[in-house]
Amino acid sequence: MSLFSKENGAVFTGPLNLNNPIAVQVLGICSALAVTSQLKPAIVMGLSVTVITAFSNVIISLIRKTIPNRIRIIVQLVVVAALVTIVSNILKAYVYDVSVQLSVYVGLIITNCILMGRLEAFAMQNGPWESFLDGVGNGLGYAFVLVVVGILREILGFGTLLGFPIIPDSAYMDNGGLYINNGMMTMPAMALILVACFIWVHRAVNKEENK
Amino acid sequence: MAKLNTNGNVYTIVYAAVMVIIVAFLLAFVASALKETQDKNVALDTKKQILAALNIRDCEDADAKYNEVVAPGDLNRDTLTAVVDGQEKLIVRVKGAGLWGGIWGWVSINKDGKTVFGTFFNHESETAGLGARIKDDQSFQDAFQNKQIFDADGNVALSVLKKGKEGNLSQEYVVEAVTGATLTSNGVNDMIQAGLKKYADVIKAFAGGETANIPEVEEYEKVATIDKPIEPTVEEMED
Repeated sequence: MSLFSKENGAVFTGPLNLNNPIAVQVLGICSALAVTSQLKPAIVMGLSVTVITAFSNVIISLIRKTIPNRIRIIVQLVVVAALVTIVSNILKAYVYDVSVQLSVYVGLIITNCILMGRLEAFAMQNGPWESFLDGVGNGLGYAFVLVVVGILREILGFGTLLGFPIIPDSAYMDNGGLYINNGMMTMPAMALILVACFIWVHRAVNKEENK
Repeated sequence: MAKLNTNGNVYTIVYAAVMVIIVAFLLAFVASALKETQDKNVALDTKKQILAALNIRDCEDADAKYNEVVAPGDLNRDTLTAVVDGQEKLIVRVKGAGLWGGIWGWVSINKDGKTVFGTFFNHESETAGLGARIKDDQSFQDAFQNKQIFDADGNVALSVLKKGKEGNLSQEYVVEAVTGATLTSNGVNDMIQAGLKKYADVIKAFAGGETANIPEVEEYEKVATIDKPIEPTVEEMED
């Protein structure tokens, strides 16, 4: 079987759309609410989760035949926890300001249901390469939703994108305009509503396939 | 591998033990390899915060600027001295409690020992867009500039109050609280009052030109001064 066969393609693209971890499986919601008030932390969180799902999937897949069945969940947790700790340390060393913004949520990647779900459902039964694709696909599927929500919340809540002002200064109420930033958008509750809207649109667009 | 009985007790225990030892060594290695860089980041971040309290924001090389302006010594001491535009400033570190977690900051004081030069506040986990504005909203921090600290009796009078709650307190002592973040603002109020009260003697000694925590004169000669005052641009105000 070639590396980029049709089956492997489906493994990779499935979680990006029809089997999206957030929109369809509704996993990993809590971190999606917490880190999406601005775009930059959303991107870093999405990439961190992608790296961790991909590599934990590969590692578990490589050792899947040696793992004692009774402690397999513990083994999976140890692998994920080790990777999360490494990523968290790297973020602290090289992108300190972002790691401050993400605060506890990097550590909480360990409890992200997407990871354990993929390890248990996919990596335990499949080879390393397929597991890698599955991990990257699921991570990117998660990252995509985070980025969409992050863009909307940052523009509507702060009037900026990646820190650059989008809404012209003159439009603001303070300067005689009519516009005011929506403070609601900076609250986690608004992320829940946006994710729900995302799921709604996603289901409406993909009606045919779901039947 | 296939011939191993992966369900046996001995195998399971040995497997778990070996795995934990490998992971422990790996994590210890990563943590110690990156520790130096992380500590540098933390120190640089602290320096940036102290500089912000001196109204020096977004400078290119915070490390160099800090060494230029602030008297050398431990970053984490409670009172520091600095020279900005040839003017001596005293920086008092304050710590307190916000709504959800700890808050802290630095208040820099003019040589007269009475007026605030600049402030910077930070927080652990205040609500984004509300309490977090004590850190994000520069106009809140700038509102402290030139406010009076002590009343006629020498007590700390500088307060953070909601509009209309000033009572008899003169406007020169009052900074308006962050809208929608009353509890965080109260925390800032308590924090600066407690912190400034604690170091009132140091502030008085500083104004009197005495050496409380203030470096010797020779040390001052080494530090250069900034050429022009730093005016925050519109973009910086929005950060």
